[in-house]
Amino acid sequence: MEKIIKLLDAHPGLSLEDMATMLGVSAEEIAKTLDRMRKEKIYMGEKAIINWDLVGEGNHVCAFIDVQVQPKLGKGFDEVANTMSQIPDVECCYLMSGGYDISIKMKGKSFQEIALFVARKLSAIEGVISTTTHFVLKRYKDDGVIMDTPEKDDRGNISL
Amino acid sequence: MIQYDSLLNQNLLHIKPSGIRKFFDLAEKMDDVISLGVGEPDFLTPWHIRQEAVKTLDVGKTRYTANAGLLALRREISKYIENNYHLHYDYESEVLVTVGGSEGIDLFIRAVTNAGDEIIVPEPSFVCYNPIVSICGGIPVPLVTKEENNFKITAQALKAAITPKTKALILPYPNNPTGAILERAELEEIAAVLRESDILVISDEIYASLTYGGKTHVSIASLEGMPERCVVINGFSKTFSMTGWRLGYALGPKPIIEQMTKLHQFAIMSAPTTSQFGAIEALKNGQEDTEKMKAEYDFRRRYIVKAFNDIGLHCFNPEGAFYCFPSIRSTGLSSDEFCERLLKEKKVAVVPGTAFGASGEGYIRVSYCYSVEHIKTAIGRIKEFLGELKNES
Ligand SMILES: Cc1ncc(COP(=O)(O)O)c(C=O)c1O
Repeated sequence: MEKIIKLLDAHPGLSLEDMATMLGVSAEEIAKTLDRMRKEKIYMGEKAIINWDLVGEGNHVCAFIDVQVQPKLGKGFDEVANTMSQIPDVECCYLMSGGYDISIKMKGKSFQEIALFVARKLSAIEGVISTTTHFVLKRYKDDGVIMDTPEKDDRGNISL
Repeated sequence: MIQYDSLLNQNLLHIKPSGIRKFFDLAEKMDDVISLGVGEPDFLTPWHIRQEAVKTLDVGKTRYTANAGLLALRREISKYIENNYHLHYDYESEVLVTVGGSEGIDLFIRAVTNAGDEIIVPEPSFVCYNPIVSICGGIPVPLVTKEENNFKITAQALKAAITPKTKALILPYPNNPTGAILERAELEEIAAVLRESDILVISDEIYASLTYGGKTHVSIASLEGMPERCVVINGFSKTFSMTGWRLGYALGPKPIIEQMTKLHQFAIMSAPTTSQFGAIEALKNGQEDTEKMKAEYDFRRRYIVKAFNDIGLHCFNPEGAFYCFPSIRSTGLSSDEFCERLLKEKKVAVVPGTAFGASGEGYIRVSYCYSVEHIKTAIGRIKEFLGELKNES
């Protein structure tokens, strides 16, 4: 399973056959392991990396929101975090160490849309003490991919 | 008019320019080529190595180093080769830091070759050995390796190539271009032949860190009785993706390293200082990077070998380096024809096997230092090319 995870991590989107070839095992074995990983919620799917900055029309604003929360007796932060995770535009929701409790990554159509959402909806969730919103101004690297990668291979075409 | 031909070194002058120069020029001029042609990693040098090197520039480490290289670097080299390859060399007298493995090869050959000496050079192999031997007035003696022997040299063939004039054997494994490796038992057989002789060995182990399928590189110099007759060449280019830093090292008996150092001192002074500092960081903290890159190469290796076999080009299973060496005999074309037509008709660049010696005829060298996506596209085009060839006949 460890090898499959490494391969998935480096090369998402391969066919079972390609994965089998690249790991030197049978496609059936890969399929079985992936199945198990899905059942155990280890493998949660794959997502495209899109440079939204280039998609344009200001439709892809992104913000990080630091949320301070009053933990609930017996439930800690889970209840609030689960509620927030239900919001479709919340892309990531993490419990954090340090100066605040929950970190949220949100997408929206405009700064204003996100700001209003935070003010009206997020802050109103029971247990939320405060929020601090940071808007993303430019994407340099997303999910391990540097957005501005050189197009041309500077190694040339042939060397011995 | 000056007659340059009579002024130039005659040994140099008579070395044939590589026949594939024309092909290279053609490939380099085309700019929408899907290449599988380069012999260097697609990975950049790991960040922490670059960063450590930059730091030394910031504090003004910009001078020459000791001729043999920074003592701290030689100490790290000696630790690294001990841990990884069970090689024991005294960092003060048996380690020389060079400008790439290339300089180490050049130094060794120049340090040992007298006019008329024969140097045995397995084939197909990297291109630099023969010309340097020839410039020194030595005679390169090709030792052809065959696919039916997994491109390994055999003790028997070695014995047959040895004459009273044999000075040294070049041992280029893991091999560029075939991807062949030599395992301990095979090395033992070769060592047994050499132990009875005064023949030196230069073991070019530049790809030592890249062996696959659970096999680890064994250095001939780690075998009983061999250190005294071996010089090991290694470097940072492939192991740490540091090709442009131009740094390597040579390990060997003090009397040989001493002479190589003398030559190095006159010709080079010392290897690039910033690179040497980067190399210290690589050896200290780069093991994980090497392992990661190797794992990625291994994915691609399995993929590309199967892909070639699937499209009908039989491909030897490489166990080292980052090349595969499929046979193109089934097409009826020569290696040069195949490569030139593939380039012109499908804009895919690979290297004809003949670039690595006459015995590379019938093969092409394909590098998998490319993303899987890129490899897929290139293979797709080669498949098309094969289809069109079939329709022609
Ligand atoms: C077999 C072999 N030896 C030596 C070298 C030289 O490497 P460097 O001078 O970059 O260390 C190469 C480079 O391609 C090679 O393939």
